Amino acid sequence: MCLAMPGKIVKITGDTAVIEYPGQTREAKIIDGEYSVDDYVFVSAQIIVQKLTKEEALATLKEWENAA
Amino acid sequence: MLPEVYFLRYAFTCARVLVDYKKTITEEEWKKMQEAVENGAPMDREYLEKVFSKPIGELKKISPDYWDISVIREYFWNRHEEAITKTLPPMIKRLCVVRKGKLIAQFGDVFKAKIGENDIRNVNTMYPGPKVGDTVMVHYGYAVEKV
Repeated sequence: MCLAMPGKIVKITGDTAVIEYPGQTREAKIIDGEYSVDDYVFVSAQIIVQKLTKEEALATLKEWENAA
Repeated sequence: MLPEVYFLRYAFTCARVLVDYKKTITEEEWKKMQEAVENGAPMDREYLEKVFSKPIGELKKISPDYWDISVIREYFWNRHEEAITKTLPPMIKRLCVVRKGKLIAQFGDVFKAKIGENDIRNVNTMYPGPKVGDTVMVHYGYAVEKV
């Protein structure tokens, strides 16, 4: 089964972002583009894959809650 | 390419979920999978069938010869979306569907891939010699193979 959980950026230092998930945080590399604290992103293999809008992120997180 | 290698390249994308949420494999097992993917090394078929029982079940529906690469490709390219649609809402599965895209920019070892009109994402690549302009099959954050 394949699932994508969005995380929220809580800190940026250089090209490294700290991403917050329920119960854990992980670091991921910013590849290009502009990111800010509170942005929601998808991460895979320690890189930021894609930014989501807040609306998309909250809707996805809601789906996660319902799927659990 | 061995079918176990081919299968794991596509299935590995989903394996993080097995560690963090389903908790059916350990972090150590996940790292061994990552090494196998990076090195192109096959993992034990029986182990893969145990860990990835759901997609393997879907392969069996396609053919009794379910470890044939053409069957694995048929599942991930053409049937994975239907399989995950049955159980997952659209927002969650959006990045999990395997789609054809193009590598449009390179940043060191990472590429930017464009899928369709509006889906642009950063991807790691799983095949040798990736270049901007390659047409690839993308699964979440990986360009799995050039097509």
